[in-house]
Amino acid sequence: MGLIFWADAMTPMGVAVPVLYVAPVLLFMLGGWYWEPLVVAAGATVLIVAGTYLKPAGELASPGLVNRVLETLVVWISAGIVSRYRWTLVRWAAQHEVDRAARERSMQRLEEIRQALDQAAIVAATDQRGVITYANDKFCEISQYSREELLGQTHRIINSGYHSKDFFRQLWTTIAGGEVWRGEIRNRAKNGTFYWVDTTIVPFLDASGKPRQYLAIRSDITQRKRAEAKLAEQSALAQLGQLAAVVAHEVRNPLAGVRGTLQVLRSRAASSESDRSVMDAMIARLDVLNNKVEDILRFARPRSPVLERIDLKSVLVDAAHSAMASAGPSCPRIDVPSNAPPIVGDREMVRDVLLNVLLNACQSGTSEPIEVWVTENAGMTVVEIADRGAGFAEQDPERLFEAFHTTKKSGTGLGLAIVRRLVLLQGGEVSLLSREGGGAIARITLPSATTP
Amino acid sequence: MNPTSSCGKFRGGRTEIPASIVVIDDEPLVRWSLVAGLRQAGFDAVPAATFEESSARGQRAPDIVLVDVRLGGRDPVNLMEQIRSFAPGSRILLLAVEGQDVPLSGWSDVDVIRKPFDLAAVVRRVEHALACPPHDVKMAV
Repeated sequence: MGLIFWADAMTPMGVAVPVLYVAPVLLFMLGGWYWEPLVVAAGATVLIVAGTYLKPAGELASPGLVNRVLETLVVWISAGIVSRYRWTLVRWAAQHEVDRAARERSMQRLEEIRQALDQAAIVAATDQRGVITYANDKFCEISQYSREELLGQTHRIINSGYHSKDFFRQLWTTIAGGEVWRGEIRNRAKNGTFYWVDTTIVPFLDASGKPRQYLAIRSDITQRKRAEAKLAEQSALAQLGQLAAVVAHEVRNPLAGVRGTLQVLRSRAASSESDRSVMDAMIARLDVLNNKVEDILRFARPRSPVLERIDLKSVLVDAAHSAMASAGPSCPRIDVPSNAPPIVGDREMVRDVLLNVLLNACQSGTSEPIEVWVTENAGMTVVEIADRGAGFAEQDPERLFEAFHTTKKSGTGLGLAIVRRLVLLQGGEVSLLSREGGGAIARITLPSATTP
Repeated sequence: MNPTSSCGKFRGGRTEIPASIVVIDDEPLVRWSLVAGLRQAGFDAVPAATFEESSARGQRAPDIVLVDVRLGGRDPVNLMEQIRSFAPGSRILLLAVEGQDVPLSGWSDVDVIRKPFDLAAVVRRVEHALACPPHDVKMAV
């Protein structure tokens, strides 16, 4: 500014001088604060006034003064414009900062909500065609699939085959129409086990109102479903038990009369040999009928188990002998392990269970030996009976344990149902698995005897 | 349910005066077959549809009363007391359907035959009951 003042004072530049003073004011366009051009303008004003008096004597005072008033006006106008420009810039930057912080805060809040949701729920997102685009840890955990396996797939990968086509059609109609769908779904994990989820699917629409993506939020309700199923089963069984007891009594009483009468008639000398064989067949049929009644009663109304420490090995050997005896020559060899730990159970019931499962293995149509494996795990003894037979076609092995569900031509369809009933009564579990390389494995878990 | 023969062998029935048995059951075929089967085995068996019928007919107390545990919808304990007063010296064999509860914990000298039965087995149980003094017979439920 000193240089400009010197030039101003030394040379008669006339109207060109204000340009020199405007230059530093304009410099503040590039930086600094919005009020600084005003300070510079004030300084320039002082210098212009001072310059008027310091001018060499040769110049006319009056036009110079007029000139300098115009100079000052130009300097102040440009300072005003620059500072206004700066002020707008500063305001804009501040506003921008506020917006950015707000955006960051809301992003952070969203992230927190997502984290909380991921902790609390099974979350998945799909595109409009149902292809999975996001899967959280809980989803991977419950489905037992890795994220890589899930992404790019549709939810068909975890379909358990339990729900009807109509069920899923109704689901898709709802969400494709932009409505939220809620319901309970049974899914299948990678290892074939089932889990139930309470599901909410929210469609997100694009500008044209068509779903752009779907977000599924689910919670695991397997335990609740299991408890509900158990309660329903118990009450159904209690009713069935009462009914069966009444029917059994009503059937067995006359059955006893008919059987006894047939025996008397058969023993009479008057009857011929062929009559006697017919009567023998009738008596045999009556005994089969009585056994079926017994089966229904055992399933619907089993006695309370008498739990005691039992030698699993001897029960296994006993059951294997009985199975081979009643299945006849069609039964392959049964390999019973040479050692088995003692367990806690009802001897007769455990024998019944093992016999039933071994008989199933015998009748599975294999000539390869049936293998029996016994392992211990966390206070439970696991008995696995593995055959190389036809296996089972049922997609859902649980259904094989349902009463009256049978794939055999003869039989009441109660064998496995009784097995499960008896095992549950003794605090155990039973499941059927497909064996790798063909065949089936029946896995019976019973409490180990802890004290020697 | 193999009756032990530890309490001596039954020697009556076929050769001497036959042991008398009353069979009381509401189901006619049960009654008929038991009577016929026991008669074939040499016993003096008579049928009765109701308790009253058998007590009205009886000149002498039978050796054995073979009776349905819920005869005419009666309470078993009540039934036992009635038989005891009507035939104090008789042995009682109860007929009960398989799986049916027999709430007679205090009556240790009572044997139970399950329906449906095999006639040969019934005859064995009757012979066993005749051969054994009452206190030796264990209740088999």
